[in-house]
Amino acid sequence: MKEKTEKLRTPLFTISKRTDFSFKRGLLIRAIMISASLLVALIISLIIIKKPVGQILSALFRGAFLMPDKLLLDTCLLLGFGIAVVPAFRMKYWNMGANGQVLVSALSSVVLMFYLGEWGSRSGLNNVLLILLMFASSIISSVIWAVIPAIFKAKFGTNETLFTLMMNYIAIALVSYINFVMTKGTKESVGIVNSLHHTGWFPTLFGNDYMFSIVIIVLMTLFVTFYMTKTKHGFEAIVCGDSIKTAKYVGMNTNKITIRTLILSGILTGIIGFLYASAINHTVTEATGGLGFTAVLLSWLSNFNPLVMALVCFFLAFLTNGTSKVSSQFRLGSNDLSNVIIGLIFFSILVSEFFIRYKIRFNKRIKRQEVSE
Amino acid sequence: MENREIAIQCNNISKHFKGVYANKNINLTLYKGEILSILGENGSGKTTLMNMLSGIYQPEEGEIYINGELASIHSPKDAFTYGIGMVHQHFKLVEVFTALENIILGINDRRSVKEITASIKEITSKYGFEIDLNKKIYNMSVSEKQTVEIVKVLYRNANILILDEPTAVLTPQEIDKLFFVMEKMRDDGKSIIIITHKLNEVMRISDRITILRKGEYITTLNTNETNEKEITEFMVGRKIDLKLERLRILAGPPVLEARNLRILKDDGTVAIENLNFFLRGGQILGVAGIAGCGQKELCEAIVGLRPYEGVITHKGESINGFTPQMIKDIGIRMSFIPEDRLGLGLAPDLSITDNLLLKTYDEKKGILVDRKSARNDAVQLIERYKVVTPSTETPVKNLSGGNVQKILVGREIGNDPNVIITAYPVRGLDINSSYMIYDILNEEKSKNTAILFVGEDLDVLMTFCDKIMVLCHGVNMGIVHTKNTTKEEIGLMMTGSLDLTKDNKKIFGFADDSLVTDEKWEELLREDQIRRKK
Repeated sequence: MKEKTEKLRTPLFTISKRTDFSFKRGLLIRAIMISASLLVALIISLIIIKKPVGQILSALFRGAFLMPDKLLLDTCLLLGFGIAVVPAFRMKYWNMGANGQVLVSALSSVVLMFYLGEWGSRSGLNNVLLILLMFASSIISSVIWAVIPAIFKAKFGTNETLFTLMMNYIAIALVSYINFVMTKGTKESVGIVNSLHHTGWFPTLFGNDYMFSIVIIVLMTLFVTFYMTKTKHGFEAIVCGDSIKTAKYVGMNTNKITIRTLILSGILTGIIGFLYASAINHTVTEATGGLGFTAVLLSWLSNFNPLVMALVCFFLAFLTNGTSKVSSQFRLGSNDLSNVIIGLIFFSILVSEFFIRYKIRFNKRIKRQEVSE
Repeated sequence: MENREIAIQCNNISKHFKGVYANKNINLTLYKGEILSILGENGSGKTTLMNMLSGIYQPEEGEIYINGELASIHSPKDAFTYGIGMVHQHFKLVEVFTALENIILGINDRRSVKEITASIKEITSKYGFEIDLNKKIYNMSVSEKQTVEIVKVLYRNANILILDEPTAVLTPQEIDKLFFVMEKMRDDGKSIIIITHKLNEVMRISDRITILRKGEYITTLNTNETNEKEITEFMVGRKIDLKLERLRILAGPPVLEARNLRILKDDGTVAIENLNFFLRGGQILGVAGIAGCGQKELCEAIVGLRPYEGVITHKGESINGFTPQMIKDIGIRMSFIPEDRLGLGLAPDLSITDNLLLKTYDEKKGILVDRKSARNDAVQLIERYKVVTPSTETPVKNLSGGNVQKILVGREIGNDPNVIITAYPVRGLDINSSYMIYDILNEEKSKNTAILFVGEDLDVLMTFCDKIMVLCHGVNMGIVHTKNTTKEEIGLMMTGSLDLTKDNKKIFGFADDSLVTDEKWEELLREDQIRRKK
């Protein structure tokens, strides 16, 4: 009745989910993919720069290790962002708003530093009070920014991914508006605040500007690891992430847990924002806290394992600092090479996740067989 | 009869999933211009068979001949080239598209919209469908959506239609309309396979009936030569002896009593209507019914996971509208072994230890979880129930179905419950694991625990339970003592052919020795209404 179609068809390959996860194989796949991407990155650099490999590599390493404290700080900042999103992510609450949270918290600190700087510089006690005040306001503003979408999610079931993304844009607009107000419209940014008397600036540790921040972020990482693995609250968040129905079944109040976890996330990003304002940049621009999206990706790809996260962060910080040196030494004029290389590496990590989770089997070609009429 | 042209001929079709036969040596003949009913209990393999005809699965053994030709159907698209179209129980339509868009979706038809509309109109007027082609799907009633599905299939030139439970969601008037167009299509020479559980409909619409049971082909009957009783017997089979025993112990006073329950499904349709029942300590109340007739929603309502109208009391105290946490807080040890183990009872990505921890983590004071004692519990549970697992830290999703169920049951029983609500606790388990679960439940029964047991295998329900409550589309058809009933009677009640509540003066599900007085019941029901208004 109908015209004959091919009777026996086999697709070229079939993709199936792996049921056997081997740690070793995972490591091997990742290593191969990352090496491959680095090789590609090197080839691209060679094509662009047209200099011997040795020169490029030495610039890369010199650039990375020129300022070890900067390298460590960049590593820690990335790690801090990554760690701050972990509690929410374990709950499968896709908080994309780390950027915005850090921005508003840095902003609130900078505003206090700007308007109360005069008062703070009058005595040592005033300065300590100012720093404490900045710390508190940073945390409060960041928590508010984190909790608003969580409340909407709990009460109205809104999509947190979009909501938190939009909150980022509000934060960016807010920063540029407040900068406008502080400079009375004369400049785009308020610049480094209190650069003369350093009021509201966080103290140095071992004579280094960055050391305090590094220590605080390391402590933060340890705390989050402990919270997620050992405490009831962390356990509840993980159960909610695994199966919200099961969480309800055992009697957990899932809305409460969502909001509580986001408060924690807000506190963590609040600390980072405070560090940006008080210890690292002493100013706030729209670019502050731009590490959020990178952190989201690496936090997820490291399977929320803090140790793996730290390693990946170090690797990324190394590449960022190294390639920026390469760019400047060979007068490339922009930092785009660095972005290309980091993009390549993330791409390779994402691809290796696919090969780790799925098995690809090539099918033997079977001769097409006509079926008798 | 034998001289008629054959549309589909299946010979010895077999298909198994994970070592269990879903279909075993099935034979099926469908003639041109007839309506064939396929009957069978849940899990009898009807859907698997239909999925093989529509290209979703491929048979492992056996041949399918379509219009006399050997066919190999690899995809729903292949099925269409053979002229087979299936209307699934759950409609597969794009909600934001219009009826017309849904009908032509996926076909490379280069004609103008006008021409297409005309040819669809031709089909609809030919068979008497009422359809507004420009209406969006989300604005449509269930019956309208079904019409779109059928027209979609006809537009693809299907000569063989498979309708999976088409009447389950329709009102009696809509069913009349559907049957009218079905008869028209039959008279036009199309062949129709209809899957339904309702015997009266089978008798009314079909020419012949094919019966499957537990994946095997039983027989095919001519509708006008048989009756409902004979069909039911074929469906449920002769009584087989199980090694199960019903523990004979004296039941205690009612533990859980429920009156005037009305529960909705997720989609807002009624799952349970005006249901009364009670559970006694040391007694197992079985719940029989076709899948989707409200059992799941009933269980969820009792344990506090689903809102309901009506009143539930525990030992005479109202637990109306309580959340699982509140039930736990007032000291009721209620265990729930749900149908969807990995979705509801357990957290699939978490380890065995953490899954045991779920029930106990907040019993200890302080902010930390006590994994050490949970790990000990896990070791004990693994030993006691012979769970096969690499370690206590293995995610439960990596375990086999039987072992997953042992973890869930073990955890729920370890709680020393006084009420157990369980739905299909042995589904998917092998014989030995199943008997282990039955033994555990019997042991709990001997400890005076009240047990609600939602089952699917009537043989098991008959031998294992003390009483059986039969539901048909959310309505109680009666509660019978297993020693005074037969499988046939229950089968008739399940399909709605027999309703004991109708000609019986006694109200089913009211305990004679209720711990709550009649006046108190009325007060509780009034309170319930006030509660829901808030």
